[in-house]
Amino acid sequence: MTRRLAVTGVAAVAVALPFVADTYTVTVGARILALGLLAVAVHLLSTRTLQASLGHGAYFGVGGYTTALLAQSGHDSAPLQLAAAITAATAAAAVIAVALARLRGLTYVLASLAVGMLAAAYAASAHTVTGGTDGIAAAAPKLWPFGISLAPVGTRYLWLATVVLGICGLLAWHARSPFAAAAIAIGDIDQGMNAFGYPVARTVWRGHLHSAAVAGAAGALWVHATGYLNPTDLGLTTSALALAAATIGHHHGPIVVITATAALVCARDVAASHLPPAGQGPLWLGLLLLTAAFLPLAGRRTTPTPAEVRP
Amino acid sequence: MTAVGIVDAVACGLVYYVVASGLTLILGSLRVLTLAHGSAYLAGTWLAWQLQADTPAGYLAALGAAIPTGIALGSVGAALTWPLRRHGHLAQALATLGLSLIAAQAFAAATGGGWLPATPPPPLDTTVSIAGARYPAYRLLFIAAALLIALILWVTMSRTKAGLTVRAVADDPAMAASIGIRPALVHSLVFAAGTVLAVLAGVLAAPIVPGGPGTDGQMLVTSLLIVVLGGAGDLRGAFVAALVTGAVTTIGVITAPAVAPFLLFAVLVAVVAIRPSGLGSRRWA
Repeated sequence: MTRRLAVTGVAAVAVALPFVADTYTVTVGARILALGLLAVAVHLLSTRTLQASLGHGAYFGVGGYTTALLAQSGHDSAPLQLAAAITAATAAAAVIAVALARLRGLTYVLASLAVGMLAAAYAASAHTVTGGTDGIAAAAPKLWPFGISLAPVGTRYLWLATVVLGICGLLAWHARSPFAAAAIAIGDIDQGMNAFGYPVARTVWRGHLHSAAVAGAAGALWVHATGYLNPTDLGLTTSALALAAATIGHHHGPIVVITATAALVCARDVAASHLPPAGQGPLWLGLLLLTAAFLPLAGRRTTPTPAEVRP
Repeated sequence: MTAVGIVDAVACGLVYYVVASGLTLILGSLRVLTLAHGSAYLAGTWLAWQLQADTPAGYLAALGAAIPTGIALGSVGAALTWPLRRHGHLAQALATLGLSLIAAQAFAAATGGGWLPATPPPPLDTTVSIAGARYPAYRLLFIAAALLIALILWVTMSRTKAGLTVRAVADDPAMAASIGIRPALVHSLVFAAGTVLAVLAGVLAAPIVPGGPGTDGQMLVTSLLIVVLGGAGDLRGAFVAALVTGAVTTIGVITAPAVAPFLLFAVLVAVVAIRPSGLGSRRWA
């Protein structure tokens, strides 16, 4: 009960942020919500089929670029952009997961990482589509059918919070489904489930599609939050940040994963802004990742078993 | 494709092989996912620049310095990953990614964030004729050096007691420990050896793939791609995969530069879908 109250409290504070905080904090909060949703997508996969992805930046990028391209072509409806981003990311996963869903353990981590980094490399080189390393800008969308512009920071933040909370609610509902139970069982005893006659390959493939859909939504929200996307946004550091948050919040639900993302992003940005040497965000992120990796040692317990990648 | 194009594809593939062989050694033998491997290559290019490898004496000094530098960097990686061995690959991946971010910032601070110019030392800074076209002589020397490294590595791992010990620890660390092998020492030595290979690749290949912002990431992703394509820990598979990657990259850059990364991605998806255990294995999906 205490845990549920704490989670509800965090969610309430997150929703109330634009009414109590300054513009800068709300802007950072919007970015955290988008990155947090990406971490939720990684968490979804790592807690069910036990596949730890370092390549979800690819789906994040597909969703983000779809949103930005729609915005540039004059389709400024935020729900339409979100739906298109989810569809595009799911379609990309339908192809990629044909290969990735066959892999387990360390090979999966490697292959997902390669996919993510190749996607970032492709985004950097495909100037005509993505704008290359210059990135692509997107005007603030409108909230169809009400015609409300999402240009004001507070309104934009509330849109993001609504979508994130809605997706978290959907995931909580879906976690009780037979599909989720089968996916978790496959993660635990892959060959056993195969022997029982479960369609293991198809279930893992579908699990990827669900996760990619959430990552695609995160990409759309990132573009809504920042109005801009470049290949660095879908690079390794983004995927690693998401995986770190998913690992920290492994035994918990999406709200805790988003809170972990917030802690990581705030620590990185605060350190980069206030600690010497100036402007060294990656340096501080590196130290944070090292700390996150060694946290289980400090607590004298092992990393949560389901998050482990079996050899 | 011309003869020069084929030789260039082989040279490109062998650059990737020398770097990736270190990664596949660490992955296959220690089951450690190190994401700081590209930083070791960057350290090699920095050595070549710092010791003025465009002169014969500087080149030899850089080659000599690559070994202690690789051992030192590998020891840091080993010291970081050994305590995390019971905490899963994710913890190791996060720790080594953190290390690589710190290394990238250190590299930028040491070099001013620019590219490191690298030219071969005389008399290797010349060209030779291949099928009527001029081709850099240094790249031919690099091909020979990389093939020698591949041969030494293969003989060491498959024909010597040291290789046998490493394979024993990889298969069953507890059993290896029970017969007197010290897994911690093997962990450190293999990590150091894998890192030495990447640093050595940085010195040797600096005139081909110079160090600069993003080179570490480029080398890491290509190495990972080769390890996945070839099968983790499979040196023979890595060799084949590196040559395939070199060919696809070279052909892609010449014919369609915009989709070159996409071609590699397509190869990855196709190989993993058809042959998940890698090109080196005889097992088909």
